[in-house]
Amino acid sequence: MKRAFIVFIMTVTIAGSVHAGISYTPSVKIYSTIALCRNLTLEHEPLACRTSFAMNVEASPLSMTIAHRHTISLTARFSILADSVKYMNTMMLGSRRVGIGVEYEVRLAMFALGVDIGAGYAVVNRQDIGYAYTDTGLSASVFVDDAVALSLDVGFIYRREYLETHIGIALKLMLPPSVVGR
Amino acid sequence: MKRAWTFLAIAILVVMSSCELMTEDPAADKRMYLMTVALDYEDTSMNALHGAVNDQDAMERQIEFLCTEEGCDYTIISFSARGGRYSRHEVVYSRRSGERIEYHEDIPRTAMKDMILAELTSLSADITCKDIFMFHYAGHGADSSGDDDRHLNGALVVGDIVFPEIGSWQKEEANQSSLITIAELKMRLAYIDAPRVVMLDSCYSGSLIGQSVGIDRVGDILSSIRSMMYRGSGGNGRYYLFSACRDDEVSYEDSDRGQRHGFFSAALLEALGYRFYDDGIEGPGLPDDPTITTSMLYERMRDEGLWEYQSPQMNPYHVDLVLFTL
Repeated sequence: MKRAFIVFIMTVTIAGSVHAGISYTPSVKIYSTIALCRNLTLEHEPLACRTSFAMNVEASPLSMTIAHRHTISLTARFSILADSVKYMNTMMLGSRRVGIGVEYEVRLAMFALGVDIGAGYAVVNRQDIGYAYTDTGLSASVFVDDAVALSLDVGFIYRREYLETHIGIALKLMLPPSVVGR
Repeated sequence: MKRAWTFLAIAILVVMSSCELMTEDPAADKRMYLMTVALDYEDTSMNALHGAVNDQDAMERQIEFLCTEEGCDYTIISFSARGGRYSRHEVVYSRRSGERIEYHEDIPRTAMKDMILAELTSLSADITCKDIFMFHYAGHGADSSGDDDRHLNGALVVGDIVFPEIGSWQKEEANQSSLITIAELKMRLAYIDAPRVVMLDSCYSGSLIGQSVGIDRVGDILSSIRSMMYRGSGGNGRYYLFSACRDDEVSYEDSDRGQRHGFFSAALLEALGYRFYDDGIEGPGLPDDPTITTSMLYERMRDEGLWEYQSPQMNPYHVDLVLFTL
């Protein structure tokens, strides 16, 4: 049964690549976001929300575009969240994050809409503590050309005691479909 | 192409105008409170600790210097025992009046514990959530690791201890007035409605923290990674705790810096910017980083200290306390 299923998937993939135009489109995305970090406990923070800044790099080495419209990617992410703005003598410490995710994007003429979901682990700056997190996001992109896109990203990161809302602008560099695949 | 640039311009406007990063900070006019306790045990049955009173002097000078540099109000209250003389010293400074008032009084040696606890209670009425409270203790810590008397482990020894010929010192009624247990200390600190930094330079002071991060934690990497998942959760109750060693360790002092100082207090002072020069000359100074936070102090002590004999601890949390912005 298992072997039959694998053969079926391979057949569909190969047939699909011939008839449906599947191409390999790896990409790298660099973006900065403003993070609004809401303390879910509302216990020890004088302010319900802290503001911070993040720099992110996302690589999608496993990415395929189907029929020049639908893109599915497996992404690896690295980001640095800065310390937040000081308020009431305290600030939220930043962290360094590593994660993986899955992204789906649909292209509409020169625009594209995407949704992604992922998870990762982070280490807090200057303290020997860390946390796991999950994230999800939406992106609206405009293609400058086949290899370059600019996008507006909105993301949500859920971690221990915090829900972060990230809003930012991204630059995405892709390998055009004509270089690899069909 | 023109459409793409238009989209980008609109996106930047939306992102940059939707968030207010710089909010007015109501804690801009904070008052720094420092309470220090140090004893040299000269007239007691215990071994003398001359480094403890040196640590107290240095801590007072450094905090007062940093407060002056930052331009904030401060109150420094010191309880000390030097050469058999017990005293209370207070320094209050207010920017509004520009006045610096000092007050000194001798206190009965048997009243040291009660006066320290009463002072903490009194301060809780004055301190607001905009202020910062620091407590520093340099002296002996009680060794009481037995099941019956575990609550005395790490207790601050603020007087003389009677060691009976028969029985244990823990059971001696007279000794209770010389010991401030960790629980008693925490109970009084709980009434202070401000972030509290507690620094204990004494033996077995790790009892203050319990589950903690140690500077000397080397070894099982997997368990370290696993413990990183669970530490720093549940909040820290606005306590920023530093202890000189674990709850089963002794803390030390030496004369490597000229004058005698506790290892932990000296490292803490250096992290705060205090300067130890040659020939025993020392004095207040500025740290390299103009923003002094509790995580920065921990990081400095971890990276720059030589911790062969003791393992300082702190309670890590992802909210950092900014002590000074210079």
